[in-house]
Amino acid sequence: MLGVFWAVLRRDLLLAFRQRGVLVHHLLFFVLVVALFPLGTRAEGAILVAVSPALIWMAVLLAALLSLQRLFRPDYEDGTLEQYLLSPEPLAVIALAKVTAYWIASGLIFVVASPLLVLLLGVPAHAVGVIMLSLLLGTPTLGLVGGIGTALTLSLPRAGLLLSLLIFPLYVPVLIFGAGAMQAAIIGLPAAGALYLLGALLALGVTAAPWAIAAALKISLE
Amino acid sequence: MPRLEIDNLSCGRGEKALFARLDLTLCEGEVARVLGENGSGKTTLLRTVAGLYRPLEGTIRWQEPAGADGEPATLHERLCFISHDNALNGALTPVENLDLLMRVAGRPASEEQIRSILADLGLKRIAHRSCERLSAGQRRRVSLARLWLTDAPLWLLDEPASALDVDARAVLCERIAAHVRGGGLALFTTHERLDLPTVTLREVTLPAC
Repeated sequence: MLGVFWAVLRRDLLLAFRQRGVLVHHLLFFVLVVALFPLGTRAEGAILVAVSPALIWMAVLLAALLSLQRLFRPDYEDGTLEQYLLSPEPLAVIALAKVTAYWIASGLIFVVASPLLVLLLGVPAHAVGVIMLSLLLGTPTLGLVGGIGTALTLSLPRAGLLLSLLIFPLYVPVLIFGAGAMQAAIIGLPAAGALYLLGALLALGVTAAPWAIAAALKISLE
Repeated sequence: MPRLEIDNLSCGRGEKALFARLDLTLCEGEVARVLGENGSGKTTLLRTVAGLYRPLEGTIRWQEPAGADGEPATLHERLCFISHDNALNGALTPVENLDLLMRVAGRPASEEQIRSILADLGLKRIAHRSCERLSAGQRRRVSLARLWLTDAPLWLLDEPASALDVDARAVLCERIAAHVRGGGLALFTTHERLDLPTVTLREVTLPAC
């Protein structure tokens, strides 16, 4: 069981590395959304800092929506997905491996890029640690929840809009507690409560989402 | 003695049945070709037997005496399914693709094994080239290389010979025949004639509904 988890994880990371141009696109998209926002307002420093948590998280959500489309679609189109379904190993393990690889290849980049972006927005340096931590705990949940949405919309030809309608409402808790943790850190309040809740959401996601993804994939291939 | 039992099976996409009340028992060492025109449900039959589609009616059972651990094997542990799609990712090489497919099928093969099979099949030159640069026939042959790597007793092959040239088709026929002679089971669809040396080929016509 662990063997198949590592095999799928390694293969998807190798693929992400071979197609690293796609990852650069997602990162550029994330950076540009954040960087263009101040140009569109005449907001002064204090206001920009106040809206920065919402801005960063919205950019992460949009970039996640963009990258999620490729989570299962290539495997669906070339027939690898049906081989996953026929595996004697549990499909949920394969689903978890795919989401893990997806998060390492795209979520982790946002975490690494975030300090530069928040400093660009004028956020005080003492808040950077908490901001990275909140993204580190929040982005895997986005991948797990988004995985359910992509798996459900897989057999539809242009699923982008429907996907956003499906998963954005489910992203609300992550957005609230993620931005909440950042907000607290910026004004110097303890952010532990919001971070714990992000951790709890992640624990729930890791436990439940792979099974939901597996069920959704089976429905999509029927 | 392992066997595949299909009882009173009706299959279709959605509510509409493509064929109805198919009875078929495939025993050790038997191979059957599914006949029928385009759209008659050949692919649907194979995908239903594999468990990808739910049958509208009827049952599919894999019968096998319980193994040493007392657990009867499930169909998925005994199955090698080659569909229309080759299941090869264009950015990966044949060796990388086959490595993943065999692991997912629960029958891991070492890189040396995969490389030597590809060499036997005359694909040595392309073993480390990315699959998007291969021709349709080469991709099909790489995908079919799974038949040389697997020890699964039940083979379901959907148009295995599509895009193959005459020589590759003969090699494929020889492999299917060897599998059947060794006590394996095979159910396949094809449009071209496939001559399987020294085995009797059963033909199954899908009953219209």
